[in-house]
Amino acid sequence: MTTPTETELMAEAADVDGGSRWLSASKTVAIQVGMLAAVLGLWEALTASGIIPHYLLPRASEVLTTLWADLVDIVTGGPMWTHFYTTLIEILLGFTFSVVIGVAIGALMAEFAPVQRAAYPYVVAANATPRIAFAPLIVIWFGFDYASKVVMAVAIAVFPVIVNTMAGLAATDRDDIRLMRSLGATRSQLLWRVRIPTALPYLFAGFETAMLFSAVGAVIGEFMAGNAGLGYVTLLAQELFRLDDAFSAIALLSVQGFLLHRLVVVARKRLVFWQADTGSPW
Amino acid sequence: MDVSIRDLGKIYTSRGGGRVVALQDVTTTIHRGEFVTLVGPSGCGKSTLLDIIAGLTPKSSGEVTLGGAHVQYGRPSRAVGLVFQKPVLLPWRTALENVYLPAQLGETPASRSSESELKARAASLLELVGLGTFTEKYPWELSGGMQHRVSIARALLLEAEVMCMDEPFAALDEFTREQMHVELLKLWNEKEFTGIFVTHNIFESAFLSDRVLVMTPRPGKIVAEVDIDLPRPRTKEMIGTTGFSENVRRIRDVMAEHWTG
Repeated sequence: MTTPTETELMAEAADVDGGSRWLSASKTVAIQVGMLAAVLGLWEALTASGIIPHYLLPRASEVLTTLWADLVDIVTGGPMWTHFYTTLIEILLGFTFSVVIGVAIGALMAEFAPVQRAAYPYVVAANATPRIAFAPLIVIWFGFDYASKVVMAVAIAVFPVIVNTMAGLAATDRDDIRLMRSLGATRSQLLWRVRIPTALPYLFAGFETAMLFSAVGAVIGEFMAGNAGLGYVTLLAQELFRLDDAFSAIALLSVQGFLLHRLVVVARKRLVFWQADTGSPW
Repeated sequence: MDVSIRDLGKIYTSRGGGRVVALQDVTTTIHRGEFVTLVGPSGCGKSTLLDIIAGLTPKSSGEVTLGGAHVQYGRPSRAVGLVFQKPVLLPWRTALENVYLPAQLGETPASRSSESELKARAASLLELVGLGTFTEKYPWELSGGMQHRVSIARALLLEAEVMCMDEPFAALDEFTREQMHVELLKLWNEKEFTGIFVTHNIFESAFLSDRVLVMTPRPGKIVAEVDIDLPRPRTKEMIGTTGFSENVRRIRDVMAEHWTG
């Protein structure tokens, strides 16, 4: 039954699958680039023709020129580099604390039913509370520097980690537990050999969201107070009606968030290799 | 080792206080090296009986002994290997790592010194079930039949003397299932374990067994034992013979006599 031909056939089938996936990947990228070009083209047409006045929306070409200058500035270590770097550190710190605190709280709630029963409504309520309402207090408590931004980022990003950790640790299949029990597994063997690997895909879904939320939190933090970061640049540029600078900084924030999110996705694909791919070429 | 069951009873109490008698006065002895099937309709308690033998479910009354030693709930014996309806393989482990899993569990997991020996044993078991070239494949790279072979190899890693199988092939297609029957019996012949096989498929029970224990529900009990008088080794060709049909008919008759759906 396990003749070499069958193995070869399987390998060949895998190759064909991989080939078609690659083909569709390059097609997808082409569509994505085309869509961006179309939006920018429409934007340029509407602004260059004066349909949308310049004081409301700068021309796409102006924004791209500014963006290019900002990118050169970042690469050469100019002032934009400092802003870029500041926000980057805020996001990463916010993400890291969210992961550590979120996994700890989520695991505690998953492991101890009374803790979950007591705390869960408050976790949901806290998540529903608009954290921006605490902005003035956070500045008073944590100052104008990094700390207040990181706290704001954690206040938003910790929740998806808590919820996903809980869900992940509760997701172990009944049959898996039955198997492990039949093999005499101890509680810690069940945890490390089955429950944690089972939870990993859930954890990473939480981490991906946490990274994006942390980026939002960092910018909100920069809006509250301070004098550095891409969020601060955006705010300042809008106050000075330099809309091309504002759009450029916003674009940099998008790219930064996108790349950081990719980092988590790549880590997930490495660690959770057994999960079927979503088919996204990224 | 002999599996001896005496006056076994199991009552489930529902949350509302209702009581369901899952097993009542079950008494039988399964001898060392015998292949026995528990056959019956849904709800006759056959899976519950298997779980009690395996130490996975507490009994309500009576006793179960394995080679003279009492089965204790929550303390599954290493002498019992379990095969479930689903193969239950861990997707982050290769076929070899899945077969090796039992060695890493329990109060006394395999030490470094016995590790390589057990790994070699896991590999030879995979060879035995026809997956010698698939040791490094992950479960999702294997067909349904192959996955079941891995789960059987896993149950055999620690030299199980009693193999408890809970409808292991129910989800497979007819052709694969027949193939698995023949291979399972080959393994049984080679490893000389005691086989306890749960199914609701009368043909399957007749083909595999030395003895079929016919069970009926409400309350779940063994209503008859049917000795299968087909020669060993069993082959696929036997399925069409009158001898085979005769055995199937006897099981059916007993079932019809005691149970009216």
